[in-house]
Amino acid sequence: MLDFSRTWIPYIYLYGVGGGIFLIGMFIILRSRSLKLERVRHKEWYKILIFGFFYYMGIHGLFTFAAIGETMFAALIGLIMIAMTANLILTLFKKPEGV
Amino acid sequence: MDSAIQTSASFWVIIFGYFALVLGFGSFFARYNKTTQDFFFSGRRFSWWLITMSIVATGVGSHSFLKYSAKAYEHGFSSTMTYMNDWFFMPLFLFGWLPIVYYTKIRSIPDYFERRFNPGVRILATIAILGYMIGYIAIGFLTIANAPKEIHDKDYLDQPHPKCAHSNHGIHVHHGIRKRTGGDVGVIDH
Repeated sequence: MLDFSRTWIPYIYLYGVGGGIFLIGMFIILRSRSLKLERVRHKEWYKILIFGFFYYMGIHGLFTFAAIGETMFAALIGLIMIAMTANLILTLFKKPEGV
Repeated sequence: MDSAIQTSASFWVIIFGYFALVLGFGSFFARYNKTTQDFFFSGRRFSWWLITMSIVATGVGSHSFLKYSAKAYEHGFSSTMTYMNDWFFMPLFLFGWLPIVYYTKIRSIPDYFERRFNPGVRILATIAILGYMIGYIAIGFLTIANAPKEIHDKDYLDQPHPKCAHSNHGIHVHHGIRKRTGGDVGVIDH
């Protein structure tokens, strides 16, 4: 049996510490105006960056739930990830307004 | 107990075929390397996505496959802690470092520090990176030293063995020739 310390502690550590680094990075690029949200292409990348974070978090969570036998949760995360991916693809392929 | 990996003729054909192929690629594309610009940046003539793949291919070494597989086998999902997810650094990489590299056309990290500060900072940066690289390359060498141990079931690190020494030197020479002749083109085409 996989216990909590071998499944969710690494997950919490990874996305807690890593999430902090990610947030600091996002804060810096927004604050320094390196990423300008009023620009369409930049806004797309902004969405991709956030999507990527939750994608990794999702796939990691999915396999962890699957490994400990919680297939319902795993399937639910899988569905959410499919919806997120579809949403991102639609957003990226939608004709942008502006530059 | 004999724990050595069972080898066969096809095993050695694959090993030597791989080396020959990689060396062949490097040697063939070496003809396109005329300047340091060619060697380090492939003459800046490739698309961004190809360069990206090259960066990833350079970053993922043989030790990555061995180490992470071994850790996953030993510890299960907690092995994912052995490597920090690269996505966490993507905001700073995409909108911080990448524009600097692209627009200023710097050739290296020390080059950046010289332009940003002064030549003294460049030297300090070079020393820092050198320290990191020595450790990084050492891990690669350790992997090379460990791989024959699994094949021959002999600890070559503790007991130097003529066969191993020969084999390791061969691999070092192979890496050296590949990088020396092929440069980044060799890595991309590989």
